[in-house]
Amino acid sequence: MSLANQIAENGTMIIISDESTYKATLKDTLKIATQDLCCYVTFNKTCSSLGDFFKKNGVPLKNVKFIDAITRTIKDVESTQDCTYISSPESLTELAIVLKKHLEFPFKYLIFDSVTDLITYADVNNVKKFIKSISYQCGEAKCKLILIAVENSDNKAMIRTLGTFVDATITYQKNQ
Amino acid sequence: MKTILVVDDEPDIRKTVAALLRNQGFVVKTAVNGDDCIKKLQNMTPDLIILDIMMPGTPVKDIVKKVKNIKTIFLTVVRMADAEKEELMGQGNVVDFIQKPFEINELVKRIKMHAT
Repeated sequence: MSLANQIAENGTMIIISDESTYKATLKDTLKIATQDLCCYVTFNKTCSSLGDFFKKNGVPLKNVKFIDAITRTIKDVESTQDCTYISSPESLTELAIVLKKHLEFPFKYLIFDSVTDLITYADVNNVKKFIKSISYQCGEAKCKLILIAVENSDNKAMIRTLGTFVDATITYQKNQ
Repeated sequence: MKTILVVDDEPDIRKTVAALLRNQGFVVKTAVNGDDCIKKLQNMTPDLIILDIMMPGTPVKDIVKKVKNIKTIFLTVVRMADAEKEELMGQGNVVDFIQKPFEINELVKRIKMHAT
């Protein structure tokens, strides 16, 4: 089944890639999600570099609002209409408050890039509770939750656990 | 002999970079995060700091403000726009960015360039 069909069929999902397929996973997922209103949470790139990534890969920015958990750890920056900055990826309470506000807006997609980066910064048990809660909130808000995960030998078990909080676990395959 | 302070919360990276630099003849000290870095700097003045950009505790922007007179290289897994890197290098003592995962020879070359 194609990635587009799998995303269409499920409400909440984790898409698993590895180092070699991560960029393609992100690009293909974004090409699908940005056709509608999309909220994109970054845990591994600054909002500015994401703009470059989108342009380079022909992904339109007009439907996307960003939540950036990285830039404020590096420099002082004010939130804009298109990007809300939070203080760090560890600040799950702050992120939860920002997401709650964003979910009042009719986003069709909420993307976490990547949930495996999030677990390297924040306490693992807190991340589990957080994802469980966000998954529920997305269901209530009729917003599709897409968790991007980059699998390696150290995080396989954690990804499996996170998979129990969502409707589907999708393993990305190129040309899906 | 030049002294380098390697600051990274990932033990593997910290140990690997420290071992590589010791092999190159540097005196190497390590710190496990930003707060540990600030503490260590009370008793030493390295010639260069290699600082991971994403660590628990005090954010790196606050550490850089405290480390006023020591050249600092950011070691980063975070993808940043070139314009952002230039902006950061215009402030404080940030002299370079090294992207993780790094190539060992390139890492050593760039550290040597800034430390000597």
